[in-house]
Amino acid sequence: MSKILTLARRELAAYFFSPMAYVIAAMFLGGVGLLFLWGLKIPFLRIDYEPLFRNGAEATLRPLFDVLAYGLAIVCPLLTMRSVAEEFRAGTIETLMTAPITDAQVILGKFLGAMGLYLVLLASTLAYFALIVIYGSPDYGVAVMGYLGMVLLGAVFIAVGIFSSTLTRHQLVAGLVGIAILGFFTMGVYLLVMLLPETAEIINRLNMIRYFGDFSKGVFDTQGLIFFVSVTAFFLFLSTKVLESRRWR
Amino acid sequence: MAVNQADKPNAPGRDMRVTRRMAGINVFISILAAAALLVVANVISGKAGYRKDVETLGHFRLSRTAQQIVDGLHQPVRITSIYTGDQQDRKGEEYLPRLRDMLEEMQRRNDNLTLANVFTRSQKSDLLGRLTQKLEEVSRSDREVIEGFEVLSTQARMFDQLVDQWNSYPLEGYLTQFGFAKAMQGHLAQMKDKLQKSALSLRTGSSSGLPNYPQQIQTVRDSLAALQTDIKAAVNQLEQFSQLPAKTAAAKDNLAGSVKTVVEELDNVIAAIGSGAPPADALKAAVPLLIKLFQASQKAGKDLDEFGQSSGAAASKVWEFDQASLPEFFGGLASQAAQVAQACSQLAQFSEGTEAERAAVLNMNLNQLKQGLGQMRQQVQMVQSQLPAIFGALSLVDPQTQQIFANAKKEPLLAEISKPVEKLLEKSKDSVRSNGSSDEQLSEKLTDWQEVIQHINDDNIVLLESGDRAAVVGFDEVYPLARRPDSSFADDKDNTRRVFNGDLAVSGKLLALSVPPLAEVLLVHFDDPQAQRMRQYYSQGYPFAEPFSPSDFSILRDRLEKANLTVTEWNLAMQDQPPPPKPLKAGLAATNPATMPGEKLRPQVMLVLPPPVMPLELSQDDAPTGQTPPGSFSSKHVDRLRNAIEGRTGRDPIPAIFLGGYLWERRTINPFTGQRTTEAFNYHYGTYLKEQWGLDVRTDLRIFQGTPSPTEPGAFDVPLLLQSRLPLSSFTDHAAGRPLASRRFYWTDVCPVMPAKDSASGAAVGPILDIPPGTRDTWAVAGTERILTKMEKGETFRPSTQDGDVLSTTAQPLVLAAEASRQFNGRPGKVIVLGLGSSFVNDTLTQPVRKLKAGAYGSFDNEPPPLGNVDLIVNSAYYLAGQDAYIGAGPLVIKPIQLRNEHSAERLKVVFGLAWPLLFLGVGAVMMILRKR
Repeated sequence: MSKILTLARRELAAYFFSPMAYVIAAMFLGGVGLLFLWGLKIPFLRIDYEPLFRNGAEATLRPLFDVLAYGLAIVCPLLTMRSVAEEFRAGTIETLMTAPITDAQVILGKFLGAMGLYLVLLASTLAYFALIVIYGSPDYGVAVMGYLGMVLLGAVFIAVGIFSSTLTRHQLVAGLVGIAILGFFTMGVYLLVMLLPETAEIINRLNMIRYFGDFSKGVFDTQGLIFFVSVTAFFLFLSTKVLESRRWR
Repeated sequence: MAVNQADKPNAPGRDMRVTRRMAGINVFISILAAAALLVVANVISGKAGYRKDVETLGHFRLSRTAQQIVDGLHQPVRITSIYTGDQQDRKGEEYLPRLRDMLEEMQRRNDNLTLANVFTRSQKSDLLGRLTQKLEEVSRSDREVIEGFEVLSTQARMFDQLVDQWNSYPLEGYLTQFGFAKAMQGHLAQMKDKLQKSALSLRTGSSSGLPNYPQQIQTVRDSLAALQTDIKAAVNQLEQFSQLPAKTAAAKDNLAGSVKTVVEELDNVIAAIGSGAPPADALKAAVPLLIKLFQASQKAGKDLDEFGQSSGAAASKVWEFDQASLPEFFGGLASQAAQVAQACSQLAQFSEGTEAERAAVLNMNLNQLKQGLGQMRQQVQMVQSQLPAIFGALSLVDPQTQQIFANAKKEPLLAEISKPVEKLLEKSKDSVRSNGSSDEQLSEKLTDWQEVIQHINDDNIVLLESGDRAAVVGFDEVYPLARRPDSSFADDKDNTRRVFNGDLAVSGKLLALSVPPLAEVLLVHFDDPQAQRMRQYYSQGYPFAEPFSPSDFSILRDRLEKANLTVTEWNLAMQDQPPPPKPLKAGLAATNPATMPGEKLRPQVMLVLPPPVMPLELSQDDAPTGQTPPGSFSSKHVDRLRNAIEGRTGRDPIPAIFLGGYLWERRTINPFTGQRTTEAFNYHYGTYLKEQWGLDVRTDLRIFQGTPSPTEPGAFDVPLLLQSRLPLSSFTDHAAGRPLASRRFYWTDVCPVMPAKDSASGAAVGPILDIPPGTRDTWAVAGTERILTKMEKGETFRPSTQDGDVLSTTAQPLVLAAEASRQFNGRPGKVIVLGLGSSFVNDTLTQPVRKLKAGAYGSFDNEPPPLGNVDLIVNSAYYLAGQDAYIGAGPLVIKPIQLRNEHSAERLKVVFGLAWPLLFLGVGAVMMILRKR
């Protein structure tokens, strides 16, 4: 475990020692602030979000989380795209693989490192929640569940990002693969339901946003919890296997 | 050897390949196993998962009522959310996610619910296609009527032929004198025209994309009914004409005799006048003869009138003389005779002036009378001479008309039109009757569809389908405006704010779609011209003292109807007894037979609105308008209500909800002394409730709430704003109030409803809403003048039992709403009395609640109107109707974000929208600089 944490710390430090974490954090908060305080209007895309923080609006972060859930499908793969792919490209993976740590520990370490950064980003949105507390009467149950849902959703997205990062030595390709996979689990399922409405019930079980929706409205559901945990574990397992395959390929 | 040498280098490669293959298979199997594990874990969690709603406020949760309704659905219901609108004011960014959440939550509770979404035009057109098919199935019998009508409307030739037939009717024919042939031609042309216009309007169709069969069937029914009326009128007329010759033959001698008598009586009068006797004597002698003339003229007029009436209106046209009918002529004659008789009588006794003068006056009048009577005789003679000709014209029927009369006996006139019309009308009535509602214009199912057709093209609606029934829940029902647009309190931005009300709106429609109305609420009111005048007067200065009318409660009524309760009115001023209960099935098709055993009657619950009130000592002179007598409401009306409640009308006792409340005192100032006097108003049901139900409605006490004074121990500050809307939700464990505990309510003009100490009624009393025992800051104040003066001056107030104030004690809480129950001849009776004043009238339910902003002296918060108040009435109605399962509470209204001003909003944008993200960049920059060093 200590090896995993050491690796995770190293990963997290790597994020913060490079400008990337700050740029991503600033962009993330800029985006959140835009949605929260100004709203977003792109008429030709028929996007029209009123500011969430405005007189008379419901005192909740839920709409923000609902939009962020889709945004994370892009942010998380970008965050993790370099985690393993960069090791491949720089050749440091050989060093890592000869070190006295298992592949699973490598993957978990990178996962926890990325999660650390993600949690810092998420924590920064508490400032907006504080605004809602000051100017309205939010439902704390909904807020707690919303943050739990965001953590679980982020875990899955990061696991998928790390998996895609293990597939290639090119960061950009890894990022795109991750976005494609998450795109399927978030938006692709809707298309699939429209194409194959008779299998909607099965397809909907793959819809990550649907599970997240329960959390964001303040419902704790073990079905969603197990889904997120098991899918995270599955993708981390896949990542381990892909990494492991380098030994016998 | 060579073989061996050649084989050696390949051995490790083969081993490697085998090893790789094995490793690959191993990985593949482990991935498969992991995937299987993933699937199994998720399947198990889906079937045996744990789900907990951890919301503290519950505004994403289904209400208890909605849960009951959804759980009780035994038939498949399809709910389609149609989200097609992009109008800014109907967009509502919270609408769709909230609606989806709610519908998914409903679906999760009951597998009979199927959800669908419509976003695109093609999806909408598929939906319309499916709905059209369903609608066609529902209105099959109606469509047959419509088709039959269209066929009839195409038979223009038939009408033309009939017009031609009447056109060829001879000018000298019997019916010509009545203008019948011409009239028939006009009627037939009009019928044809109306038919064609109606048929054209049917073909125009509906603008909604769904065929508007309900409207079409109405058009057809109206057209057919009008056609039938026209035909019947023509047939009746012809029948009267056919009987006219015989009637004339039978009556002509009598009629001629009557007229002859008039002539004779007239001659007698003329003879008496012209007898040469002294004027006074002649006039005197003429009086009895004029009376006889009056009687004879009256008889003649009456005989002619009776004959005319029995022969039809058209026949009496021939009795015209000098632009008046003969009955009118003889009526006028009688009237003249009476006047002349009176004049003669007066003249005979004329005694003013000298004899010569008297003689001159009498002679002059006598001459005028002679002249007038002469003219009268000429006219009567003229009539008499015309009579034989008239009788002749009415008696002689030409052969062609005889043939028409004979044909009409065999087959009614216009049978070729009337037969198909009657057939279609009968069929259309059958289609209504087959749905068990013969007294209604449209079948119940089609009535549902009428609403769907009207609203299917509205933006952002929810469509509910169950079997062959359908209902629409509109955007404004699911997502109503938080405030009344014309509210004087709200600013422009507030006027567009909406609140989510989907739980109530959708579950209410689901209930109405799946089960018949649960009960009938009778709005008991007193309305007569007197009450209306009083309403105008009292509404100017005495809240809650005005006699309320049902229209003051339209929001409550709407809410009751949405809760699947039918609402009818009982005006105590006009009706002795309440409207009879309807069968449970009435008005709704049975979709869930289990809920409607046998021929049970729908339970009734009375909602007794406050009656007109008058000050006890108010005399007639003091009455509001200065002329109005004291209120027409009396003990007779209380007895009517009492009979219904206690089951003395031959029906079961009807439970009742009484709306009581604080009645403001009538304050007057003596203009000379400046002395103020107050008079109490009387709540007319008070005595009955006290004596028979053991509930003392203290309309003379008003509930006030204070905050402990920081400077004077035991005294209270009484903020003015707190008194206009009293926030109280301390409901007891009573079934009607329990789910409402701790919810948001604001009450107005609240009075205590205390258990009467000296009541011998034997009724069991139980509180529903009270001020809990020992509460120190809320009391019932007697003589509000006392506290109002202090409030105006900003002084503190000390409630005192010595002044008549009533305080909540540990032994006796202050009860504000209570139930009482007792037996009447072994039959249970129940009443609920709410001392909550005007908390349920439209004005209260639409005005936002103004509150002082905490920590900001002088500034106010606007909270949404207290619409939730009505939940108490709905729950009480459910409770009294024995429908406890549906008792619940409506949606919560959560306090929204409230920015203090635009300036602070801009500041927050700068800090949290720009500075906060830039801070991260700054920290990053510092970190990079530090690292470089």
